[in-house]
Amino acid sequence: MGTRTATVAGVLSKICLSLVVVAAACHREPAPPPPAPAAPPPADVTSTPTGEPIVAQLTSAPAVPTRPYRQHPAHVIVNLVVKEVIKEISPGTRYAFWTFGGDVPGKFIRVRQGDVVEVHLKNDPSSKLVHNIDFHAVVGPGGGAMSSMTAPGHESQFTFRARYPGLYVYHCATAPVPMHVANGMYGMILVEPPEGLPRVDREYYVMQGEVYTTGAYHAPGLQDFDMNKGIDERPTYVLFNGAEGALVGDKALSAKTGDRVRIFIGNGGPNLVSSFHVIGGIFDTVYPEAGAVPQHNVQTTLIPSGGAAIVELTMDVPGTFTLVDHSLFRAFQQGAVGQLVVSGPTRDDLLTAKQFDRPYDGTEYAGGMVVPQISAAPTGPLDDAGRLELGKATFGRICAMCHQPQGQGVAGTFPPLAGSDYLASAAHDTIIGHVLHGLQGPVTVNGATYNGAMPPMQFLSDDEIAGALTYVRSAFGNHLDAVKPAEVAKVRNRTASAP
Amino acid sequence: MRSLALIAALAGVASAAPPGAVRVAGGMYTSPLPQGAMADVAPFWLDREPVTNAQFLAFVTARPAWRRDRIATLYADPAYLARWAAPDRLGARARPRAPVVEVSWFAARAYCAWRGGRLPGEAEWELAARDAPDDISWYEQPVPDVLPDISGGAGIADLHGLVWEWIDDFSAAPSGEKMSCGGGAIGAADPGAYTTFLRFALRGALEARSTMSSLGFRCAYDERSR
Amino acid sequence: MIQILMFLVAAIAAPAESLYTLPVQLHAASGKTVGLDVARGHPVIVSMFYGSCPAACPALIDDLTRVLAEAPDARVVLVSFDAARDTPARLRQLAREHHLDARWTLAAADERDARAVAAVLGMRYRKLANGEYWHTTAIVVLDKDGRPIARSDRLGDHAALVAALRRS
Repeated sequence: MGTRTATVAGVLSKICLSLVVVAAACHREPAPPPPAPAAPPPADVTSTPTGEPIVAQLTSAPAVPTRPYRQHPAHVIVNLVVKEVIKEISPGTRYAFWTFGGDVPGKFIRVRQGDVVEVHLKNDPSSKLVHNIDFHAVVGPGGGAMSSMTAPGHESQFTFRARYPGLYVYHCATAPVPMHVANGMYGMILVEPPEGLPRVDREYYVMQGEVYTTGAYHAPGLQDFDMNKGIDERPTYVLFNGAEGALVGDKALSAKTGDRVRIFIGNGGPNLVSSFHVIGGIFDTVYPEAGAVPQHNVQTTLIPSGGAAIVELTMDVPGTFTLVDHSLFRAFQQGAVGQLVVSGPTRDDLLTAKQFDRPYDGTEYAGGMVVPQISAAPTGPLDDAGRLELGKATFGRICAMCHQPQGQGVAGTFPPLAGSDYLASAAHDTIIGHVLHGLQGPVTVNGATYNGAMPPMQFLSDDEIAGALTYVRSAFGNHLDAVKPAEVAKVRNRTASAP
Repeated sequence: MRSLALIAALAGVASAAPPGAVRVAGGMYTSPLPQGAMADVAPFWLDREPVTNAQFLAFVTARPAWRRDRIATLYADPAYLARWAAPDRLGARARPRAPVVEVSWFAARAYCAWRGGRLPGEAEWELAARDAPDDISWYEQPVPDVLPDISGGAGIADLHGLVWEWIDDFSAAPSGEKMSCGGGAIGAADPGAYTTFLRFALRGALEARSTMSSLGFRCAYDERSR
Repeated sequence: MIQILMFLVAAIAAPAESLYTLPVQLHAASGKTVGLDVARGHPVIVSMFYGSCPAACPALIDDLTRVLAEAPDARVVLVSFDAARDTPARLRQLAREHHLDARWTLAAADERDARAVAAVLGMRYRKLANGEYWHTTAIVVLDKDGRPIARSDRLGDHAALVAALRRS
């Protein structure tokens, strides 16, 4: 009885416990949902800059200023000096360039989207001409050109807000503008998006431009501008960074294997569109026209005149990579070449050097016949019947063209094989040698002399030669013994290793 | 110079020829630039040569208000006559027979008024210069530290290729978007007239008190003003 | 707006001599020949125009009317570069049409003097083939002695001009 009571009590207590547990469970608050990840605050590109103005670091090509690391827009001062200088475009050839900062292309400017940019354009007192500046990054009449007409010995100042991210050309826009641009007055300004461009290992600045001279390519001395060549769009020089050899030899761009390289590539024009290509490279990323939407795996990209592109490559294989405008006469005859030299361990798994160099005597083209490429010998060993089949087919395809389908030859030209006394008396090695290496000079068959040239047929496999010879020696009334592939191999190897 | 003046006088010109000046026959001038009006230019006299450093030195000696240490900042910028060794002395960088530069429009005007003349207008200057050899290579090259002497020679000398020259109505040259980028070619009668564009671009950017290391002037005289 | 004031303030930082040293002769609407200093002793707004101007010059007169309403001690001197058409009679007619009071002086300059006034104001103008003029805007505020204290190159700035006049 106690047991039963205990049991009942036990059951009851279990029930009560369960009820208590259930009750407790019913009274618990439902667990709050996990908090949603907070959306990142939009980047600040509109606030008014506070703090001291920053003087922009400007660089000459191919160097690029360091990326601006700022959370907020800044007041940036750009000091740009226009200087007219006479420079070499090629050894012994000089040209009077008009420059932003003393170089062609002009200085590279790098700011952050939202920056308030205060431009000080100074024209050196030794300049002959008025100059100004049009930033393609600026929205407003003239892109700043009207706010910056500057006479020699003067300085103009104007300010703009860099509202749009991207890589933009700037150039002088004083009339006659094609001459000002042709004479070197172009450069680039990068307005970096607030989060910055993705990290890379190296960044370079390259700009293509044409030069129109009255003298021919490489004519020595100080060359004059040729307006008519400019109108006809027939430049004398097409150059990267203002001179032949600006990116060649000890001035080549450099990288190490494994580097991710970004090139800010612009085209000052004034006329031509560039087909920019790095020989041996593929742009794994291109921002075509320096816009916001990337493309991938591009071999050659177009850069409009007065435009730009951003290209990125990963340099896994060492060596010298040539930058060209792939309108190749410009690269070969007019100077549009540069170099990117990549150092590091070789990568034979990606591209080998030359592996073999073998003699090739053009036997595909024998005496005017086009001999079809014969594929490799059939895989797997052939039995005699199979070899004979192969030999018959080979005879029909090749030998019969001269010796005729029944081996009868052509009188005076090609000796017969049918009933040939020569075939019957010559050693196997001799006959095999004729097929492998050809036969020149007079040969007498069945009393007639033939003085032609039998072409070599080394492209035939051992099986094919043995099969064809065996067929010939047993057909057309011939009753001669077979030729084995091993015999052919022996003759082939012997003569191959012969001095 | 004197013989030319004598010849001109003997040719029966009503007024005495200004010394050192040549008579320019008038004619129709059409600006090759956009908005260029046509002008019927009356005959006038023009200096055969640009004004030299020696001549300008005589001027500031006679009119000391125009010396570089006395001139009002309203009338010239701080580079006025900067290459002269002293306010009253030329020095090595300003050869006596080289054209005077680093002079403002106001100073040029004052000099010509002192000589009994004035600055030429755009139509007059361009008309006189129309047939003079105009080599674009001069426009491409920077200014040398010491300017060469006037070249001399027959006719009106050095209208092109030595220094830019002030005109009286430089403030008539189009500026702004009229001269910027492609805008400069809109409506232009001859967009291939590059050297003309370069002259207009300069005039459109100058102020009256501006001075430049390659900007000088010469004077014009009315036919009957003397 | 802030940029304009900053620009005007910059002009003040480099005071030049008085414009009244410029020897020009202006043919005023009154029929008299006057100099630029016709309103010496008052702060003066100087600009240039021509009477047949279809749009910009009426807008300029509009702006300056507003300025004078808030700066009663100021005077206006407007110089026409079209003396051939802007005779004293024509100038009087213009003054009537725009209801200009005695604080305004409309005057015309002959070609050479007009260029001289344009030179000190930084103004550009060119006669076009159709008889109209292309011209820029140049408004200069002078103190009582004719020294420039502020300058604007656009219309619609009357608040900034009033501020400059109050400072003078």
